[in-house]
Amino acid sequence: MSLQLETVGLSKTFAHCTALDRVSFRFAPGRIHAVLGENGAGKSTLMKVLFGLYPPTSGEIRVGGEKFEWRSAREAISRGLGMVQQHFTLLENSTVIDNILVGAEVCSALGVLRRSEAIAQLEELLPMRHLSVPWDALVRDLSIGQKQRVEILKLLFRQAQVLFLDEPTAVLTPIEIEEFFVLLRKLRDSGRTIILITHKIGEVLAVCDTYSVLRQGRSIVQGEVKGAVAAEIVEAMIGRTMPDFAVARPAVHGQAALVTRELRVGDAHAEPGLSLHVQRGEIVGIAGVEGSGQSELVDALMGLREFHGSARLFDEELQNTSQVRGLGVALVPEDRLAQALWLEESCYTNMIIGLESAFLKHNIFKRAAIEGTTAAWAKEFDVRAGDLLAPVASLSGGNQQKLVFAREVGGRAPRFVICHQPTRGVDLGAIDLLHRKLVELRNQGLGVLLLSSELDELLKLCDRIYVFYDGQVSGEFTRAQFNRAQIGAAMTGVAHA
Amino acid sequence: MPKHIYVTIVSLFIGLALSLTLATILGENPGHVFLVLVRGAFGSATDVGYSLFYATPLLLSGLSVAWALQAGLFNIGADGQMTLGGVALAAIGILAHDLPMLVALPLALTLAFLVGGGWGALAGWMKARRGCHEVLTTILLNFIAYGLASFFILRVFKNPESQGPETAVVGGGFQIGALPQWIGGTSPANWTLALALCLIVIYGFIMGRTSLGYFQRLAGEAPQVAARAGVNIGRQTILAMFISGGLAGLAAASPVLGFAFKAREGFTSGVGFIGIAVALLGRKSPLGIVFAALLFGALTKGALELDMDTRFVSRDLATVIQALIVLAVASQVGLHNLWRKVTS
Repeated sequence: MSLQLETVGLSKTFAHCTALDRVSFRFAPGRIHAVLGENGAGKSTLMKVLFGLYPPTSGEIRVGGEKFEWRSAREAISRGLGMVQQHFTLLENSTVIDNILVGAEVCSALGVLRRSEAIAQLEELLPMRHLSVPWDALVRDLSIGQKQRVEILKLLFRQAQVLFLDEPTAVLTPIEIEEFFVLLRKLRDSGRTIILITHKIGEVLAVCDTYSVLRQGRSIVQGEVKGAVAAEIVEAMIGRTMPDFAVARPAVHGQAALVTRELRVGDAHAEPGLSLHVQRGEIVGIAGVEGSGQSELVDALMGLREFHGSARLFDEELQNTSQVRGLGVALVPEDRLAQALWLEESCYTNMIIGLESAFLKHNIFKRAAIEGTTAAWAKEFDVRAGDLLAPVASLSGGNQQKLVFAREVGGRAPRFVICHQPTRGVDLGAIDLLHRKLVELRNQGLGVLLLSSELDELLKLCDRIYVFYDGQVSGEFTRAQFNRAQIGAAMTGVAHA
Repeated sequence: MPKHIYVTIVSLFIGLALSLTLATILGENPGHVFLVLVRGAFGSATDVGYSLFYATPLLLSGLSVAWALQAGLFNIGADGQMTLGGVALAAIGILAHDLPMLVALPLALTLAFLVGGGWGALAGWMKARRGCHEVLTTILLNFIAYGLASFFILRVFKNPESQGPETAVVGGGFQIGALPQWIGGTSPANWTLALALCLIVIYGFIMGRTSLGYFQRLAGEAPQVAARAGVNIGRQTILAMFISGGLAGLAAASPVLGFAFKAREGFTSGVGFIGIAVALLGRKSPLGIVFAALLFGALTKGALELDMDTRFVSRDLATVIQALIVLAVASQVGLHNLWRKVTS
C-alpha cells in the first residue's frame, strides 16, 4: 500500500494572519520530498494541518486520491501518516522495544506484553539488517543517531506510509547523516512517501527527489531536484538572491585572550585535560561529535562547574559566573529554550537578563529606559517580533537566537564571546546575519570560541579549529590546513598526522 | 477576560455543584444547604465579620505559599512557620508585657516574621546546600515546629490559671483591635486584615516592578538562564524561603494577637495548608489571592451554620467544597479541553 498525499488550495487563517494561502502540493509515493522555507513561512502550520492538529480554513487534503478530513492526529496516524519531531519524544529510562511498543502494544489475551513477537515483526520491517538497534538497551544509552532510528521505527511499526521528518539532521554527525540518508533511500524504495522539512540546501540536493518551497504561506514552486540549481532554490525560499558570504577577514594580531591548561571536568574529559588557547581577533572552532566534552568545557569556562587545571581569561583565573561575566564574556548557550530565554516573559525582559543593573533606580525597573534601549538592540540585530511585549516564546527560532545575540553582543559590549551551536534551528536569513556578526566581532579584535556540530559552519568562520574526540583534543587545524576529510577523521578519533 | 479566569469560575461551580449533590444524596435539600451557607457567611454584619476573620490568616498564608511559588518553590511548611511565629508573638507579648502599642506591635510582628522566616530559610538552606527537596524538608520541619511550640506553650509560657494547653495572656499593647462595628459587627475581625491587604499590594508591586521580585521569579522560572547570567540561585532560594516563612509567621497575628490574645496549641487550624489552596486557586496573583482567601473564609463561616440548621451534613462540608474546588482547578487542563470541545 503506497499513498499519495496531496493538498489542493489549502488555506489556514488564524484570527489576524493567514498562515497558509492556497497551498497546493503533491507528494508522490516512493519519493523523497523536501519542504523548504524560512522560519515563519508556514512549514510547521502546513505539517500541523496535514497531521490533523489544526482544521484547514479551506481547501482539501487528499490521501491516495480521496478527500480526507480528519479531526485529530490519531486519525491521521490511522491513515498511515507519521511524524518525527525535531525534539525526540522518547522515554529515556525505558528500553528501545518498550519505547516502540508504547501505544501500540502487542499483547497476549491476558494483556501480557509479547516483546519477542514484536521484535520479530520489527526485524521484518527493518529495511537493512545493519541499521538494527539494540532492542533491550535503555534509550538514554543510545547515540543521537540511534535515537532517531528508534523514532522512525516507531512510525514503521504503526504502519506509517507517509513519513514527515522535521529537521532530522540537525543533531547528527556527518557519518550519522550518511547512514541516515541510506536509510531514507531504503524507505523510499519500499514505496513510502518521505517528506523532509529542512533548511539545508546541501541535503536537498544530496538525498531528495523533489523540492517544494513555501514563502509567506504560499506555495512558491514545486520541482524536481534533478537539474535544479541551489541558488534558484534559495532564491525561491527567501524571495531574493542570497548575497555571497564574502566578509573581509584582515589578520588581527592580538594577544592571548583565553588560555586553558589541562582543564578537566569530572569524567567528561580524559587525562591530562584540555589545553587550548584563543587569541584576540581570532575565531576558534571546536568540532566534534556531540557529547565529546564540549558542553562541559563551556560550563567550566562559565563558572558553572568545577574543574581541574587552569583557565585564564585576560590573565585572570576563572572562578565563578559573575566574575566571568564581569570580565566581559558573552555567552550564546547550546540550549536556547532552557539556557538562554525566560520563556514566560516578554522580549523586552529577555533582553535585559544579566544587564539588569543598568535599568534599575532604587531597585525599581525603569520601564521606559528598558523599552527604548532594547528596541534599538532588537533593530540592530533584526529581531522580528510584531510586538516586543509579546512573550519571547512566540518568536521563531531564528528571531529568538537573534534576540539572544542582541542581548549578549549588542547589550553587553563583550570582550570575549562563547557561542555554542549558535545556528541550530535557525533559518538561512538569520544564520547569514549571525555569521556576519561573528566575523565583525573578530575583526574588531574580540576572541570568539565557536562550538558547533556543523562542520560547514566552522570551516566558513574559523581561523583555527580544535577537534574533540571522547573528551580530548584529537586534532588542531589552522585555516590553511582546513580539510574536511582530515577533520572528519579526527572527529572519529583517528589522529591526524 | 483571560481563559484561566473562566476555568477558575467553572471550577468553583463544579466544586459547589458536586458538594451540593453529595448533600442531596445524604438527604438534604440542596437549595436549603446553599441558602444556609450564604446566610451564614453574609447574613449580617457580624456574619460578614466572621467571614473576614477567617479569611485574614488565609490571606497571609496564601501570600506565603504564593511567594515561594514565584521562586519555583513549594512551601508546604507554612503551617509550621505560622505556628512558631505565633509562639514568638505570645512569648514577646508575655516577656515585654508592658510595652506601649506603638513599640509593641512593630516589635512583635518583626519577631514573628523573623522566626517564621528563619524556619523557612532552614529548608531553603538545606535545598541550596545539599539539594534536599523543599517539599520533603518543609513537611518534616512542620512536625518539629509543632513539637517546639508544644514545649514553649506547655512548659515555658503556660498560663498557670488555665487547664487548657495555652500560654498566659499578652500585654495590652500587643492586642490588635477589632474592626469597627459597621464592618465586622461584633465579630473578632481585626486590623490584621488591613495589614494583610497592604502586604498583598506590596507583593504585587515587588513581583511586577522591582529587582527583588524579578530575580526571585527568574531563579524560579528559568534557573539555568539565571545561573548563566551570574545569579546565585542558592541565595535566591534561601531568600525566597525566608520571606515565604516570614509571611506565614505573620499569619499568626490575627488568631494570636487579634482574637485569643494568647497562643493555644493547634491555633493554626491548618491555615498554613489551606494557604496552598488559596495560592493555587488565586494563581499567585494579588487579586486572585484576595478572592480565594475571602471565598474560603466565607465558606468556613457559612459551614458553621450547617451544624445547627441541617440534619445530615456538618461544617465539614466546607472542607469537602474546598477540596473539590482545588481538584477541579488541578484538572483544569482537562476542563479546558472539554470547554474547547463544547464551544467549537
